[in-house]
Amino acid sequence: MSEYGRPGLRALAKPERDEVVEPGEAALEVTVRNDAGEPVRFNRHQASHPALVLQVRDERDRPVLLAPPSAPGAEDLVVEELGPGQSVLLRYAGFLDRSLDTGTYRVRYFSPYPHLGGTEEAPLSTDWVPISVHSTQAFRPGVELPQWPPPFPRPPTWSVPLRLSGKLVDVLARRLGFLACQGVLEQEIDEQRTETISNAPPGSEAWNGTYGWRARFLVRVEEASCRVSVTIRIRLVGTITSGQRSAWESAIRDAWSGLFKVCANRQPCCVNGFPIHVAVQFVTSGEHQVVNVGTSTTNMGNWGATDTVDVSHEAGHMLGALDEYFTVNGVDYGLGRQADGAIMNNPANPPAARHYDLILQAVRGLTGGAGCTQPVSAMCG
Amino acid sequence: MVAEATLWNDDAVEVRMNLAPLAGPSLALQILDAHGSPLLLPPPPVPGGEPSWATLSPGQSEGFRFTGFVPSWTAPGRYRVRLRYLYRPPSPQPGDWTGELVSEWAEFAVRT
Repeated sequence: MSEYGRPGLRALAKPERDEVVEPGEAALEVTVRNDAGEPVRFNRHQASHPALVLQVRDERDRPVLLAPPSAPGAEDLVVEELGPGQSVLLRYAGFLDRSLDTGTYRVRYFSPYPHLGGTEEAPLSTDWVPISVHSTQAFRPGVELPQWPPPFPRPPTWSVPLRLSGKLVDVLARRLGFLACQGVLEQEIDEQRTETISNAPPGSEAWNGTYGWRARFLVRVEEASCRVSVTIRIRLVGTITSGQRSAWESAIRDAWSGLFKVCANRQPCCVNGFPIHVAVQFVTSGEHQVVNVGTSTTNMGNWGATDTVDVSHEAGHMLGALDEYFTVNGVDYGLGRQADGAIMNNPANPPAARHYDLILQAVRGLTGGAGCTQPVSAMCG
Repeated sequence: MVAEATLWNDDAVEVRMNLAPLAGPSLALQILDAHGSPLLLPPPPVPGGEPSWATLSPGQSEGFRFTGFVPSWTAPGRYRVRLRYLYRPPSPQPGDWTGELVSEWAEFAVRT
């Protein structure tokens, strides 16, 4: 039984095929019908974007993120009328990434937006429907593609989609992409971090102790732009103005981006390395971190609404960096906020190369290469 | 989730308290899980900022609020939390409160 969204609108979802499919072949049909006695406005074009209206959960009820929608265009502004009794059939295909693990997922149409059928109080929602997928890998790593001898010397190991633990955008496109330096690799990072602070001077004894957190972010390596993009998705709790939020975004981006790069060995597309860019993205679900908005920044999960200094230090923790004041894990750094301290000692100062170590580790894992972190102004190699 | 704590001055003299050790849940709160193991909180704020103080007259109290003190990755289960205030400067000024204070434990549960 489906649920009503806006008065009179009803939606029903069903998988196009009942058997187990490969993730990329999963398809869903959603019928939206106007059961009211008067026309209802509905934006069919926007509703056709799976990322805007579909919710997917795995067997552990964790949200499965979908690829972002295409850029909005003029067609997305067209709102049509559904007459009484009229329905529209929406078909969604290819919304599950090919890298999804084998298993049974559940999906539904869900929207609290009026032009997509719902309201905040009464979202338009179908029942959850199961979709079972069986993930297969089209090409085993290391296997030569049939009838594909490259016309020039064999590419270096870096560009071959081998030993990758992250998500491949498309194996064949990547082989083509290597030829045209269009390869893209990305991976979600989730690493446990702990630090023990000791030797805090008298008066700061409260800082002594062991702390733990999870460093989480999305890392993306792009050959076309020779860039490593790091995104931290943050869900905010509390009240903040758009200006304050933008100030946080700018502070963190400016503190962490464009200073260092990854020099990846034997990488012909980007011989001068991959500059690292870090950004925060504020989301309402699928977050890496939750941040509570308060009057001052007191730790990684509590930021001051008007603070644009210490938040960059806290972003460093989100990227896996440890504190560098007093003694941390046996290393004596001295007092906090030293004039020449790097960002994990003095939040007002820039980071050092070591603060990107988890990002570097992730890039190495994606590319299968050694690599190192260098200032952007330095030559690789 | 929010934790609220109140400090009372039940002495007959005025006391001055350094509020730095209460600057955030990571410094001020101690949390144990059902097995008595500590729940590790994210690192505290960088020390060395401008100190802030509160002066409590006899009988006066000061409240503190810690929002979102439970990390988002905390496993479901039962926990207990208490306030811990620790301040032992080398050369306290007359009237400065020094020492260690802990509150009673308060229980809470985390659900998925």
